[in-house]
Amino acid sequence: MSPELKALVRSGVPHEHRATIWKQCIDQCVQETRRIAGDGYYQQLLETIKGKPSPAVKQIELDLLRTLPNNKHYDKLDADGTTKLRNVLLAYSWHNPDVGYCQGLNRLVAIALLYLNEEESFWSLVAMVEHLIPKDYYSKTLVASQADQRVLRDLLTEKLPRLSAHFDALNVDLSLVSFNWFLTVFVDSFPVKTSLRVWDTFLYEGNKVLFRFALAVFKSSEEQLLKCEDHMSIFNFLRQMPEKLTDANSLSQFAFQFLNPFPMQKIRTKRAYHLEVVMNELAELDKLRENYVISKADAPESRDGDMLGED
Amino acid sequence: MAARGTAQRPNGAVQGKICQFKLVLLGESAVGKSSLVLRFVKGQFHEYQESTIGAAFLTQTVCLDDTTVKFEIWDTAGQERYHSLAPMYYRGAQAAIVVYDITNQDTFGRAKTWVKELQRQASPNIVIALAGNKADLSSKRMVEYEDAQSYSEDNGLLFMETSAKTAMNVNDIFLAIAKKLPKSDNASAGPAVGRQPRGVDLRETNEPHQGGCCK
Repeated sequence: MSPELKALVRSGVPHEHRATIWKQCIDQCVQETRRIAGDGYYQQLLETIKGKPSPAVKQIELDLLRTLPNNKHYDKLDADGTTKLRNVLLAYSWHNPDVGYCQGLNRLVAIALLYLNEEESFWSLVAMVEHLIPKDYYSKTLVASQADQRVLRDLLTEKLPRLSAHFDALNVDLSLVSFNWFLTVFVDSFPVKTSLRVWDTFLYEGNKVLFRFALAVFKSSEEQLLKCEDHMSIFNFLRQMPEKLTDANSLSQFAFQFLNPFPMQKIRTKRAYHLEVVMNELAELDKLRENYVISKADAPESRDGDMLGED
Repeated sequence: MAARGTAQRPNGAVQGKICQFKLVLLGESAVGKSSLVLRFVKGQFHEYQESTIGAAFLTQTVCLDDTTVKFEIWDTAGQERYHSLAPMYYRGAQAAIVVYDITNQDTFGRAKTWVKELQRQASPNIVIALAGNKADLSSKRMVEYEDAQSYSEDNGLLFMETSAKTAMNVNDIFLAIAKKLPKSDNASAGPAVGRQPRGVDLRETNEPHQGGCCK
């Protein structure tokens, strides 16, 4: 990692060099894992999972044609991209049973496959989920991604206080929208060229850049958002606006210049704090559910097992 | 979350009522939640609709006699692990459509679980509709119409079988919900909307259930 290369990547990797740069970023992350796993690890995974049923298999099959349905590589079950997508997702679900398969990973792999071969794409997923993105982003309760949405909210308050106050006044919960941005690394919301620019820096620097780009979205449309008078118009605006962000250069400028300084340590501290809060909330919710189940069990049986009790 | 007037009433002149409601779609993965919304909002259908990650937001307006009903629609992700996010989306919702796929019994079971959760944890007066989607695939039917109907009756749900593909009952189910939602005037519903709480607090009282929506 050199400051020069970082600056170059931030200014955009040319299409013809993208595969090389992405591959290098990924190799850097997974070198050690790959060495320990040994040669042929990916092929072995594919052999192992052949014909084995798992909950992941079912969901992956449901999602294959719903990943990038408008892209010719993924628009049919026998399209070349679809087969690779299936293999990579299945292999990964076996490789990392804690995560298994989470919706969203399909988008990540589909984008990786546009530039990398199947095995490299598998390793890119390893790199993303296990190195570039905090732990438990895609695991069973998505707890770390929930925490990150709160980190984003804190950062918005610091970087764009006027807008933050406006959102507060209209009681806008940003995470309703920003979850998708983070879980798909903006694949769902930005035009392809813009999202590839996010990906360049994401693969080089990690998912911290997602905060930068999310805030850049708000910064670039701050005045329009301030004019929105209710939460509905804000959500409507936020749904339509990102897909119009075709000027990746100016968005990158917002992300990497306007928003400085952007110390990682601060994000780490905020993350740790919010992670604990979210975990406590989830535990609380679980307790509520458990109590409910217990109180249901004590209550006399209703006519239909699915009917609700008095509570 | 209250549906307080977005309508401009400069001199308090009486216009047709405008009501705004938050509606959430819940249900197992790939039952057609997004397709129902896409059909309702844009009149379109895609055989392969992108899977929803997190949630998607859309709006649509329907007219009922002298009332304009604005739906604020949250279409959620179906995979089980996104379940922990669902309360964020149904919190403060005045209506929910719980969707299952008539060709898949498991999805009906999952729908019942959603109904239970809504009855337990969502706003007390939430209007819940059950949609048995993919009705165009009746040759592969696994969930009997009568079963879903009697379940709905027992639980006080609106129920329709729908097809996002053919558009069957899609507008109708939204209209039926719109009809069932309270639309009486609310004395407190003034034009000063700005700083009113907007239904992100689970414990917040939900004015429309007491007073109905705006005028």
